[in-house]
Amino acid sequence: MGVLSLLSNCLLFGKNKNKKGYFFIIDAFIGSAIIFISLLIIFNSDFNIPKVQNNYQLAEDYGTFIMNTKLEDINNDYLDELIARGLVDDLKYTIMDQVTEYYHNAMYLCPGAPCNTSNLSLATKLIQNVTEPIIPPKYGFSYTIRDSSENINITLYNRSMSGLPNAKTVIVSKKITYLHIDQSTLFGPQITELKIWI
Amino acid sequence: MKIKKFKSNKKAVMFTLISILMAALFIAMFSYDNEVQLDDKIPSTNLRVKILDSYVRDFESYAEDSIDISAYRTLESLTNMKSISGEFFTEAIFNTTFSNCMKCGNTTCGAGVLISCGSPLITSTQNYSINDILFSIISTADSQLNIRTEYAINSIKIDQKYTPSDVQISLDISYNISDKTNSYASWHRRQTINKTISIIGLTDPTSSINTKGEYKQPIKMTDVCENDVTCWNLDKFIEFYDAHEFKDEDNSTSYLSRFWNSTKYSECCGIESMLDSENTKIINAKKSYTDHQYWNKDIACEDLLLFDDIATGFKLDRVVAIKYNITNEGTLLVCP
Repeated sequence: MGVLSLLSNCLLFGKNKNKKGYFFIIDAFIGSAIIFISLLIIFNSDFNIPKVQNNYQLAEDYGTFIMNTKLEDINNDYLDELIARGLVDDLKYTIMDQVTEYYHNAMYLCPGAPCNTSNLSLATKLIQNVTEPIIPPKYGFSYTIRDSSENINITLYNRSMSGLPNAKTVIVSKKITYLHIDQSTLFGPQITELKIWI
Repeated sequence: MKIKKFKSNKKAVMFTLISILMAALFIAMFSYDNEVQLDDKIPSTNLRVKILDSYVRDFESYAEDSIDISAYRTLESLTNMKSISGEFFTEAIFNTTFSNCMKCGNTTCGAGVLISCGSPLITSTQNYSINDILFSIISTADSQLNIRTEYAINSIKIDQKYTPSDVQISLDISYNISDKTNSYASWHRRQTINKTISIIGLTDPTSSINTKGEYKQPIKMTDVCENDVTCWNLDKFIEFYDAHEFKDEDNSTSYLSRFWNSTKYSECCGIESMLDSENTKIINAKKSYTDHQYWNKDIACEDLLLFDDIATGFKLDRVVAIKYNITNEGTLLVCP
């Protein structure tokens, strides 16, 4: 109402009163615009780097997820395809168990090609299909098994590896993995290393 | 008038300048990382505690799986050990030996002359005793996760109380898990882990020890006439005999009691198998070829029936033949 009256004053009455109102409104708009633009800059800028603790939490949460989530509890097209092809022995395996089994098959059960490469490929694709929806694209990610039996490190999957040397933050989460092969054999323990960087 | 205008313009300008300065201040505050305050270390500590907690669960789970591996291999090793000498354990010595072998891989666990429990518990490449299996995870956690683990196995017990094809293992273990560099978090726990181990695939101790390892019969439960005592006939019995499998039998000894050559029948867990009469390691004798009877029980000649149609020289006790409904197929032996 005040604005309308001012506008009407502006049109019908003296120039001085109109000018005061005119400047008052302009000033208010400029002040609001400054505050709005500053807030816009703050929330959309890349200056606000995520806290290191949040990245740790992401790495740990992802590690906990793949260690504890059973295959039967996952809804994933690639996993369904593996099950249909008979490439999953036990749906009560966790994701990490299944990856470890593919790794064990590749390195110890049938180490020659093409069995070796096909099992490693299964492990890689499983990690990729499970990881992509969870880890935001702005993060680089790698999944490595540190095999103490052979004294080798095998990186089963990596994303944006080229960005690792220039990363501002690199977080590593390590999990102990092992596999109960049969009644008399245990494979492991190995260290599975999950690396996230940005 | 001009001075008034100038004064009111000056106020407006000051207002705008202050707004800009405040906006710049806000941008500066949120754009740069703050100094890490003491309270900010709490999330890091929280995370470390979570890692340790996760390892505690891993350790417990690993200990449980270790029991499976170690117990299975220990049982087979004890059968192999006694098959060399052909002498059975006593029940008390079996329990002590089993406990020591499973814990340390030798019969005395450091309290006397060390005698290796042999294969498959101890192989050329690995020792599958509990101590050695747990050492793997402890050393991995120590070197890779900076976690210290100390443990003590208080007791190991074995029993067979429920089914013919399983034994029960009870492991009493105490452990202490802590962070190597800081003492803010540690776990102290004593727990008894109970596991049921399948004996399928293990060698029957009775035949193996009695023949000094010459006649070995792996334990595999038959599905012929499973849970149906009325289905037995000659064809079914021949199928059972040819497979050299075991069936559960109230009037027979259990797997575990065969280590000390017990003749006491087990209502819950007795197993029975037929010996291969055509095997050269089984001496042709006027005995019932039901395994526990052949080795431990003398049946009067008049009560034996000969079944040459099943296998040359195969004989059964009349009572057993009635049970399998094949009495009419047998012939009486010529007795002195």
